[in-house]
Amino acid sequence: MTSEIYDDILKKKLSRRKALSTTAKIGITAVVTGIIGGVAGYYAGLSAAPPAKTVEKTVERTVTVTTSPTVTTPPAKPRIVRFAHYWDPAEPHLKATLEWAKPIVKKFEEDYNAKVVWEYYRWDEIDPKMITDLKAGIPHDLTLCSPQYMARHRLEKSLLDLSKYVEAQWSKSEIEDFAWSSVWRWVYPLQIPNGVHTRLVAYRMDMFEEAGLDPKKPPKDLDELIDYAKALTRDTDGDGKIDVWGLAWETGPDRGTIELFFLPLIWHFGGDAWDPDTKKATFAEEPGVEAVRFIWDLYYEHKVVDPATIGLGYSHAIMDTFLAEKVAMAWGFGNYWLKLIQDKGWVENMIPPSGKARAIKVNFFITPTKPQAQFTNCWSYGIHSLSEEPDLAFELMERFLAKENILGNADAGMPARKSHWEELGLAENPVYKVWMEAAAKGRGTPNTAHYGELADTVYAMIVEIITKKLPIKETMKKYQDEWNAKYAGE
Amino acid sequence: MYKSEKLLPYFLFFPGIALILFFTIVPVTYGFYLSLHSGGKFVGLHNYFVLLFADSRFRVNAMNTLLYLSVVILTIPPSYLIAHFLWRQFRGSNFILRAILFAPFSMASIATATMFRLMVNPLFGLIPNLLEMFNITLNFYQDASLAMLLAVIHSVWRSIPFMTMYLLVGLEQIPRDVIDASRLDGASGLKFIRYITLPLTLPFLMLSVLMIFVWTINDFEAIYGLFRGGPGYGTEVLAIRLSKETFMYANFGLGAAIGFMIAAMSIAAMLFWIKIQRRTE
Repeated sequence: MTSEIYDDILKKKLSRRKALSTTAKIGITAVVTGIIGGVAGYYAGLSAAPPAKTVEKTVERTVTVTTSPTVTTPPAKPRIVRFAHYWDPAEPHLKATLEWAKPIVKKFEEDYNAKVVWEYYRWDEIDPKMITDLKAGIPHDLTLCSPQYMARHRLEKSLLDLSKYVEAQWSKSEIEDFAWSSVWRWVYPLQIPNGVHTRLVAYRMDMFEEAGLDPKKPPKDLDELIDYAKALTRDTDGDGKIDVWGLAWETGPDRGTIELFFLPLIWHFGGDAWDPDTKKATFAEEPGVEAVRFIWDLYYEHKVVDPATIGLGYSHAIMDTFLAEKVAMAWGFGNYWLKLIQDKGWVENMIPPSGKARAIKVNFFITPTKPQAQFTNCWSYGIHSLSEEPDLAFELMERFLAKENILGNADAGMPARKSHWEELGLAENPVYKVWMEAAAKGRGTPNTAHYGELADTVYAMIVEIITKKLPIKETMKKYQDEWNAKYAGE
Repeated sequence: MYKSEKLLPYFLFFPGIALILFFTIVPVTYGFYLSLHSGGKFVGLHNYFVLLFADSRFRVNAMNTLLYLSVVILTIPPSYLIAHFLWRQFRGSNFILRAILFAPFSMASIATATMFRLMVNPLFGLIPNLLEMFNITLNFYQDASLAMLLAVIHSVWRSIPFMTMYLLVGLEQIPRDVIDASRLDGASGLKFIRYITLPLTLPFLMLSVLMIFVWTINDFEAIYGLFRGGPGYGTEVLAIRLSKETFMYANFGLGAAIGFMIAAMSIAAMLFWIKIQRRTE
């Protein structure tokens, strides 16, 4: 029909006015047909149940038609809950967490006629993603978050205040069960911690014995740590090459570099990376310089860390080398790796946490920096400000945090619930006692809204100094001045 | 002329113009608007000034981008030679060879970048282990020059197949009688390339240079997949910086300003290309 009209136009049989009105009619007809078709299709789609259920419905209808005809209500569409997580199936310890979560989510979906949409993001990109998506108008519901971005979340208003849910739905004792930890005070009410993440130094007791060190007396300060690391760095086969390094250390392209390695040192030497009063970076002050000098010495002066690991990420530099038995002590060893060493038979009864936990080949000591100079944080749950299903998101979070579920999450860390520590006898267990002490001594990251930039700057600064062997003080000052030029005063 | 007759062209052009407005002009305008803001406040050209005069990291990014653009120079000559070889030696029967040649381009760049990264891992990578047999130690994770070299090699390796295919199409457009006539006149080897194929495929060559320039300057995933811009800022090109500022630090203004600078470089290259093309015509 359309081509005939245009033929007519070409042959001047039809006036332009008529052509326009006919085209408009065609357009309107198409739109109306589309709307009718769409509405019909929508209802057809609703009433079309999955094949297995169709049989049941058919039987029901046959019966009802012969007795009293009734109208069958179509099944409601499942409510969508978008869950943003960082549980990467390619990482063994996170794959275990993913497997743990799947049955919980399945049960949740059945109970609420919901569909959980899994959204994966890298662990150090999930918080920025929530913030940028807020600005872009892209909604999420439940999300895992890290407290490092708390200042930015607060500034951008990217997470909902959870206090109205908690206060309305949780009993006082349940709140207290969570509120005992320092991380709760750090993250609530925008987030609720699902555990306490702390890091220790893991060490191989058998290697200690081989080096003539007492495995029951691990190093207590940084000087002792260096002495131990020197004794543990060995060429075991006599080919002139080091086979076992005393210490695993990270100078790599992720937040681990600042959080687990630089910050504990700068705190130990009496400084901080950022000053909350002046809102300026202070990482290049004397304590920071001492921290970087300490790192430098590990590679070039004491030669107790494998220089080949410079530039590698956290997992490669620490976990892989420790599991491959190439290092005797692993600084920054996270509780999320306990399952891996348990699977190797190096510890037992640690995951799920138990009062029967026992060190077999590997034991732990607190990072030998001064008290309150150890890094502790957590992963926590938050609800995105654009959530379309905040109530359901909170329900899903409660499922993950439920007492019967939470201990199975190997990535959650030390128990978030105080009652677990008591009921499981962890506080009296010699292995868990060390972890508990570390959690109690822990400290969080600087409360700047530009934490991501600070972490990247410190990483780039350290790696440049270490790999190019640049003067420490001057290089650090250059980086600090530049950071302050952009972000001082927030 | 009826009023409706006057309106008809506008009516017919409207969908196309609306699409262009919606998908090109609106985002570009909004991007420029964003680049004039910081933290939700209007700051004029402050973001541009910060980048150009107060941010040494940006200068490193720009220098890295220029180094990375060496991909353009390193891709075209081998692509042209391979295309020439395929055209001369396997004319009409090179289907399998073409398929094999095209394989690197058909894989996702993030996957090939990860593969390259694992190959140079100092602890378990294939290349460091092979080099160790000859007592050579190269650490791509620590040496920014090596890391950039690997990024360039990876990008050239990925780009050659497409460019070869594209230039091969150009070569196949050369009329048979021109080739026969040149043969009768004694053109062979380099002379044949210099006087026959090169002038006749020049438009294809020039367009391929422009294409690879724009691809490379905007490339993010390949180079990010290798070392995430590291070691330090060693391979952090402008596209990575843009992505970090915008999506990791949520500094939309600074990110948009970097985006405009990249766009300006691309437009400059395009204008240069148009000028050269007019001259050759």
